[in-house]
Amino acid sequence: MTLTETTDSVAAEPPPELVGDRPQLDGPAVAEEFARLFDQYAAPMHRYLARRVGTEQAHDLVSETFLAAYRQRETYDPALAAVKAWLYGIATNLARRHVRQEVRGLQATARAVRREPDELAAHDGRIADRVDAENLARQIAPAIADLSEGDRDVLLLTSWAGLTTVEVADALGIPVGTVRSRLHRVRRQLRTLTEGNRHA
Amino acid sequence: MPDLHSTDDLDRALSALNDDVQTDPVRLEQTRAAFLGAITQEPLMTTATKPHRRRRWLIATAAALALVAGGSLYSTTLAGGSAVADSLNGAADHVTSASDPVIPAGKYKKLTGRAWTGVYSEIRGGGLQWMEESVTEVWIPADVRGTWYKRETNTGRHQWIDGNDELARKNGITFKRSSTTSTAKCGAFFGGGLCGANGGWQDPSLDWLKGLPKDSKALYKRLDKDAPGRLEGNSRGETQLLVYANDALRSGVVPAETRATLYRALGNLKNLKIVDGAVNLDGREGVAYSSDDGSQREEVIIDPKTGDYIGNRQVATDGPRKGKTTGYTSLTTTIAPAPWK
Repeated sequence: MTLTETTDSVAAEPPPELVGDRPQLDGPAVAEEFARLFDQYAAPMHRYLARRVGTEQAHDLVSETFLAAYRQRETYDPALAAVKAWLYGIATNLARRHVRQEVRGLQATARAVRREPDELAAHDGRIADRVDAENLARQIAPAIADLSEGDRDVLLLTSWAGLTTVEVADALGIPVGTVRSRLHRVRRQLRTLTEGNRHA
Repeated sequence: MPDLHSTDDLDRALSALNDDVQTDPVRLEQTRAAFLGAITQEPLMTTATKPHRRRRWLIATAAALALVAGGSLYSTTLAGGSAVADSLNGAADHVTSASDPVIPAGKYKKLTGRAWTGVYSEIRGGGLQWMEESVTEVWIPADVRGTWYKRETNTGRHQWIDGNDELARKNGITFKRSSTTSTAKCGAFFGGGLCGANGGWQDPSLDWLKGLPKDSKALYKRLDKDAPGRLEGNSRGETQLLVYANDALRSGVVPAETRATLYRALGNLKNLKIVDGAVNLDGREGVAYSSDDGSQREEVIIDPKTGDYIGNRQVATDGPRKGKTTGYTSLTTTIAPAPWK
């Protein structure tokens, strides 16, 4: 589609050293821009949220995230953060309302019966790998449930949403050094579980 | 895909944890359509307001009532059940194939939507609230698969609820008239559109319209199925069905036959009321069919003589603004000789 504008809007370009998707959200084609953002980010965001709070809640949260983003668009500064970090920050904040559901889900995962590859599957490396990974997941689920909300956000935004530490810092509004130290601490803590499993 | 082959057991565990979730593309498309439908209804919303409903946030004042409803206060005699269904059936009877004007080649069907919308903007020390007017004009070619033209105008007309022009000016808020124009093939201004693969109540497509049930009871069931239920976050109950029906009607692309079936389908709503009296929107009189969610009444307004959809209106039914009109949109269809005319 094409678009022309008869108002005196300003569309300043972000400085060239800034990386990532940093659109102007105060321009004349704001609805079209949000349509693009939805097309680009909604599906992976749904998956991230669904892994945290379940598929149904995730649909509502995606909807609420984009509506909230649209209504807060004047607060988005492309010079300060990539739009992906901004959107995931909103989504993560909204998802906190469902933290109890998330924790219950992780605890339920931990209680699931441990599977062992059957004889046939044991000959198929892929199936054996999957079963092994699922058992490891059950191993760490209760520990993730026990993490503070802030630590869990840092871990899962990195691991499940694929954000860099800089993007996580922008999303959560905390210094990048804090993100790195939290991530290091949490991963070290969880690794003792997976390594313990191997040596058991 | 989970990274099950990572050399790091922790990464493998994290990849496998809850990795069996599925994203339903149809649901996501519906969410997209609803989102785009919502934001195009609130083109000037300037700051965060918690969306406690799917609908845009609206405000009312007595002054706004006179302004938006053309001063047409009406007495409300509420009826229900078969009286409402009979009235809707009567309106449906007036909708015939002749109700949809045939667009001569080279000419355009012009939809004009006028809306008064509540706006809230946070400023230091509080917030400003006002209502403002916007007009959306769409020119649809005789061959709908051709290029559509759209002009959205903020007219600058506004009505203060909390605040004044001076405070607004100091905070960089102005009310000058401005327009945005855009064009898109087959109405795909935001993707989707009339030729879209999916479509829905908020963004009807030709295929979606063709697939709707021809029987009014079946169409009601379809509406009930498509509108979100309580478990999907709908706190408005049956009112949400009227909102969904209105979303489709407001698009201006629902063919006469489907419109008539939809009117009859709405007669199945258990708590639908009829406003006995002429409601005046933009100088056109109609009957308002309404559903109240306990805090706000949604109304679909139909001309009983022609069966034309005139528009919709919201009225507060609880709280300090009880009884006040909180906003409306009207829809007018004409034939235009050319785009932008």
